[in-house]
Order: sequence, then C-alpha cells, then structure tokens
Amino acid sequence: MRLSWAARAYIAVVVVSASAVLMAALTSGSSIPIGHTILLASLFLMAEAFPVALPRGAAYSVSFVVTLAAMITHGPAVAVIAAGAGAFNLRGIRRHPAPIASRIFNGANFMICTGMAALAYRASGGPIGPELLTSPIAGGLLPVLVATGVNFVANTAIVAVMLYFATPQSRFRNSPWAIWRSEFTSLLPGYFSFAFLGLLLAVLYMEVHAAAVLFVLVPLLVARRAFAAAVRAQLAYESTVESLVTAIEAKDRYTRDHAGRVARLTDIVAHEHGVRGEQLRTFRLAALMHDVGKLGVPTAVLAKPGKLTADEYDAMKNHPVRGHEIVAEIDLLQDALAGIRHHHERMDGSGYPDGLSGDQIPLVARIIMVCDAFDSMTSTRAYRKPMTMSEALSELRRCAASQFDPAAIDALETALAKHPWRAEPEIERLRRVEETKERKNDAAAV
Amino acid sequence: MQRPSDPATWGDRALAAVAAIVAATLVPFAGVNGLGDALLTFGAFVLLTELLDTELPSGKRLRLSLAPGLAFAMLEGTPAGSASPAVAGLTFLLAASIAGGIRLLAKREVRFGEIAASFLTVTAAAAAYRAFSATGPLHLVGRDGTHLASVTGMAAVLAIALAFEPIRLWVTGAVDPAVRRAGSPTALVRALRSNAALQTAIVSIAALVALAFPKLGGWSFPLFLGPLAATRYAFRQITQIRTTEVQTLRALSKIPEMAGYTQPGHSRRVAELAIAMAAELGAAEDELREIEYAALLHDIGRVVLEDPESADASSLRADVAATGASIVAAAGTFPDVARMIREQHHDYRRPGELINEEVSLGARILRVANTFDDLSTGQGSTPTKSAWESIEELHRGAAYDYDPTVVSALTRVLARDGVL
Repeated sequence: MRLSWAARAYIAVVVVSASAVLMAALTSGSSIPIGHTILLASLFLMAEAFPVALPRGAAYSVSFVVTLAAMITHGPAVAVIAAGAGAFNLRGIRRHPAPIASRIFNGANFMICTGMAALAYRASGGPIGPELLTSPIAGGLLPVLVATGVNFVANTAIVAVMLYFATPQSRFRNSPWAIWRSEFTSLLPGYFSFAFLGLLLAVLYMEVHAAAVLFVLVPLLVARRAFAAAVRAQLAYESTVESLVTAIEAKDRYTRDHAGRVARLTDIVAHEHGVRGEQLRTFRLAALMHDVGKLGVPTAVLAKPGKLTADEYDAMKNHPVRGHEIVAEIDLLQDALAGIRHHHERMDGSGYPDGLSGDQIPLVARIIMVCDAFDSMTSTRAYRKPMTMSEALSELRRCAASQFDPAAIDALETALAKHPWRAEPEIERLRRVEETKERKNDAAAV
Repeated sequence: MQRPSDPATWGDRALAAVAAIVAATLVPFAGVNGLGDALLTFGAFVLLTELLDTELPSGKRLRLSLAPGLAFAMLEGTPAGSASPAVAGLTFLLAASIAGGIRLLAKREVRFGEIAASFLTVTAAAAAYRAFSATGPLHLVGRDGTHLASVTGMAAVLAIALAFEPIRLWVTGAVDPAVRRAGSPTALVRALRSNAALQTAIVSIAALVALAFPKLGGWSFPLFLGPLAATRYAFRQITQIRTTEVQTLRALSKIPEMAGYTQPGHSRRVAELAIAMAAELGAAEDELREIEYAALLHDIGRVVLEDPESADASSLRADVAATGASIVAAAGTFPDVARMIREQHHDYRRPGELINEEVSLGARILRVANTFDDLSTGQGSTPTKSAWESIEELHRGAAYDYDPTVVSALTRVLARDGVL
C-alpha cells in the first residue's frame, strides 16, 4: 500500500516541526557531551526494541523513561538528540507501509514530544544536571509528572493523526479524536507508573555510574513482558470464544457467523449509546453468546423442515433461558447476562421468557435484539432471500415501539453510517458451506 | 482449576523450625549501630510488600518482599550504614511476622513456610554479599568517591536468590503436591525457569534500591513502586482473563449435556479426573490447563453432528473426535487441545508395539477418564457400574485401548479421593 498524499504531507509537517524543536533545543544553551549522548541514545534504542503491541497496530514502549532521564541529567538538547535515535529502530508502527518513511516519522515524533516534555520539565522548575544532586528529591516529582503528561499527549496525538491518515479514505473512517480515545486512553496509568523510574534512573546516572542504569532495564523488561502477555491473553480469549461459538453454530448453516456479526454490530451500536471500556467488552461477549442456548436444542429439532410439535416449540422458545443458565457462571459476564436472557422480549411486553416491557428490558438486551433482527433480515434464510440494509432498517422502524427500542434503532443507523458494514457476503457464505461439507467428509474418513 | 492445598504441610513446619533455630542463633550478633533510619525504612517496606498479595498467572506467589529484604542485605559498606547478615535477616523476619499477624487478624491466608524461606534467603544473601564484596574486584563508587556497591557481591546475591527459589517452591508446596509426589524433576525445572526472570527482576530492584538509598533515602521505594504496581496489575489482568476463559469453556461444555447427548455433568467430571490424573503423572502447569480444556470440550463435536443416534458407536466416536478437534483447531489458540480431542478415541498401542507414539499423553488420559465416567454413570447402553467394576473393565481393556500407567494413575487418584 502506498501512502496517501495527505499522509506524506503530514509526515513532512511532523519532520519540519521536529527540526524546529531540535533547533530550539540546540540553541537553549545546555552543553552536549558526546559520550553521554551516545550512551543515552543507545539506551533509548534498547528500550524501543521491545515494544508492546496494541490492538490496532501501533506499539507502545517504555523508552520514555530513558528520555526523561536524559532531560533531567543533561537538559533538552541531549534528550532530543537521544530521542532522534528512535529513527534508527527497525520496528515501529507495524501497519505503516514504508519502513523509511516510518522511521523518519517515528524519529521526528520522538523528538517533538521529548522536546516539548523537556521544556515543560524546565518550565515547571525541574532540577537539571548538578542541581539534582544538591536539591531535595521531592522537588523533582511534580516537574516529572508535568513532563510525562506533556509527552503522553504530544506522542499519542501525533500517532493518532498518523493512524487516521494511514487508514484508507472512506466516509466510515474514524476521526483522529476517536482513534486517540479508543487506542491510547487506556495507556495513561501505565505511562505514569513508569515516570518516576525516569527520575530514579537520572539520580543513579548522576550519582553512581552510567552502567548502573542497566539494572533499571530488568524490571522494565519484566513489566513490559507482563503487559504484552496480558494483551495477548485478552486477544486470545476473545478469538477463542468467537471461533468456538462460530464453529458450533455451524450446525445450522443459515446462522453461520450470525453470532460474530451480531457481536460486531452490538459493539458499534453500544459504543454509539455511550457504552465504553469493560462494559462494552461484556456487551460484545454477551452478544456473541446470545444464542448459545439454541446450541443445546437437539440438532434434529433445529433442522426439522416441517412444523414443530408443542414440545419441540417449547424447547426452541426456552433457548434464552437455557443460554442464561449455560453462561451464568462466567463472572465477567454477570452484568451482561440479562442480554442473553431477554433478547426475545418485546417493548410492548408480549415477548419471552419474562414478558418484560419498555425500560424494564435491560439496555444490553434492547441492543442485542435490534442487532439480532437486523442481521437475520439481511442474511439468507431457508425460506427467503436477504433484505438490503435500508429495507431492514425501515422494517425495524415499522416494528419500533411494539417490538424494538427506537433509540437502539437510531444508534444502529448512526453506527452503520460511521462504520463500514457488510451483511453476510454471499461468496463468504458459499465458501463456508463448502468447508462444512469438507469437514464432514474428513470426519467420515477418520 | 482449583487445587486445595494444605497451608501447614510438613515442609512448612520444617522450614519454620529451621528458620527459628537460625533466628535464635543470630540474635546475639544483631547490633544496630547507626542503622536507625535504614532499619525502620526497610522494615516498613518489607511489611508493606508482605501485605500485598501478588499472584502470578500460574497460581504461584511472587515474593515482592524479597526486594526490600535483599536491598537491605546489600547496604554493606555504604554511607547509609552496614547491615550485618544478622540484622538484615532479623529485620526481615520481624517485619514479615508483623505482616503475617496483620494478615491473620484480617483472616487472610498466611504461609509461614514462605516467610521462613524468604528469611533464610535474605540472611544467606547478606552473608554472601559480605563475603564477596570484600574480595571482589568490581565496585560501584559514588560521585564523591564513597563506596556504593560491589558488583561481585550483587552477583552472589542473585545466585543465592535463584538457588533458594527451588527450596521455597518445593518445600512450601508451590509445586503442585501431586507433581511433587510423582517426583518429576522436569516439572520443577520448568517452574524454576518460568520464575527465573521475575526473580532476577526482584534482585535488580533490590540492587537499585541499595544503590539509590544513600542519596534518596526512603524515596527510593515509592519511585520503584510504579513499575511494580504496573507489573502486578498486568499479572492480575492475566489471572482474571484465565479465570474467565476456564469459566467460559466450562459453560460451553454444558451444551452437549443440555442437548441430551451426554449425562449431566459429564464433561466437568471428566475434566476433574483428567487434571488429577495428569498431575499424578507429573504434567506441568500449562499442560494441566490444556488437558482441562480438552476434557471440557471433548464432546463438543456431538453438537454439530446432525443425527448422532444413527451412526454405529465406533464411527460416531471418530466423528465426534474429528468434528470437535476441527472446531477447536479453528480457534487457532490451542493446537495441542485440538490434537488431544482428535486422538481421544485412539488406542494407546497397536499389536506389536510398546506404545503408539502418535497418541499424546493428554489423549490417553482423556480416553481413560472419559470411559471411566461413561461406565460409572451408565452412559450409553451399559448398566451403571461401581467404581471398582469400572476400573476392572479398564484393566481388561489395557491390552490395546487404555494405557496401563494412566489406568493406575486413575486408581491412585480415586483411592485418594475415597471413591475406591
């Protein structure tokens, strides 16, 4: 993929700003000892070489601790030069198409945010160099926090805009602000918890020996590894649940990947409703498992072509309750369990299993209801062809008030306008039907 | 995966006894000249870190209190004063015991064996630091020429910390009791290897605190708490995700039962048996987890098969295994779990061989656990058998179907649980 002109122009702006920051730092009057600068630059590169991957393809590293130490021990100029070494790192923003452009961008980004942080540190009265050894350590705490805040905001804002320009242009593209919120706000606590380590590193550097800083890298790397493992475990868990549910669903080929799509729809609709963070995650998981009770209905009943007997119909109708029973022991989902139990209620109270009406129906259920219906209407069923998305939306509107929450339909419409959405692609569906057949053949061959 | 552990094992008691003898011997040597501030600061931080529970994703505990403990041991010869091994060890023991008392009052678990092991570690580390810092060639010197630390001494402390770790793990039962009984050294080596990085991190933090203490005093601790807190937070996240994962798989394992294909509680009973047998056979932490997952999901293939009743028994078993395996394989996260499920109906050996190398241990365990539960609950057409009858049936099948070592592991597990 080639970079768009907008992205290139943006990189150029960032590089020009970085040069300006470098000039300002060089003329700020502090001396630049070559040996120390090289040492700090190498430390910076070492910290940069072990980034933590973030979900969307950006990466986060603890290298800020090193630049912080550099600005405390030697002032802005050395810090900015050491940060510029980030350009020589082989890794960077993974999605970034051109390695050279990526490195230049990263280096420039580091220089800008380090320069700004260094100026903020000095402006807030932080002791620099020998001052550190004579002043009480408590005097450095507040300036370190200020510098950390400035660095965080500058760094993540620059990257968020880059991610915005690097995403292919379409009307569904998220704004830089939305990218920043979804990508980076969760990093804030981690960032600050490492800030004081920078101060400590500076003290050891000045007081003891430059080599003592090697000790600092060990806890940093362990922390980094723990964070990376947490991110990995989270991603692995969600993908495991999704593929298990999807694969089990395959028993009814018409609902293939239905749960996955309802989960993705619920995610964007709930976000539109203002649901965030951990709660959004539980909503998504509840949507993924909303029909899990159906899986406990014997296949013979599900696949039965003719009319169901009263017992069989009861078994079908009971599936929200069964689903609720199945997942009831998952602690994380406690708040979202209602979404599974009540996704067949109706706003007028004529639904099942509990006949709740209006606001009695929990938000998560009202959202899943709408997304479930929307996806069913826009995908193929044994008895009919799929509707288009706008047909489905007007059908939902027709049933609003009696069956669906109008606010949830509004949120769905807004969400669909913001995010690219494809209802069950035909080719995909056919391919999966093939796969199912193949798997059965494989099973027979064993 | 919950494995109840007896808090007062013989190991805990033995360690506590050794620690008491050592402590009593050290008391006469504990002079605290000029150490007032340092003593209080380090004691306070040992107490604080003892109060923090830091559980690793593997279920083991991280001994955070070793960081201030070992740092104190490395103060030797610095402007902040020298702590003799006796002072370092007894300060640690006193602070940790106070923390233990507070935990007891708060009705939280106290592991005296761990406190005793850490006390011995700190005392030995202080002695080693003293011995090696005097003779070693490498010293870190402050800006004003004062001695701050000896690099060889630090290396000695690291060596001691790493060497005492197996004692702690083994004796305090942090290594699974069943694994310990099975006497598998591989499991211990693995437990050690997975802990070595963290242990090294704790020693480096200790070294940093010791280096920074003369200049920063008590401030050196809060400055370190950031990364420690962050690491602890990340570990808790992982533990929580793992819990949710097990709960989710347990929930999904109920689907075949709800559809009426298997006996109620079948998957979960098979999982419990399989874990106990695998631990008996010396499986490591992560293997136990995968065996549990495989056991929970071993019948999931039944859900997808459209008409399970019509097929004959053996081809149905093959279908269930292959379909279940492909479902788990599609998830991509647990290839070994998929493999165990795929091989769950395979014979452990064929005529003319000692063992079929292609069948994983997990699959052999799964087959025995599964059959035992089927027999003893009367799944299928067979009448319900007692535990002994079921075991006998498995022994009869040990010619080709069931691995005899796995069957004896099952016998031991059942005997211990009082089922036999």
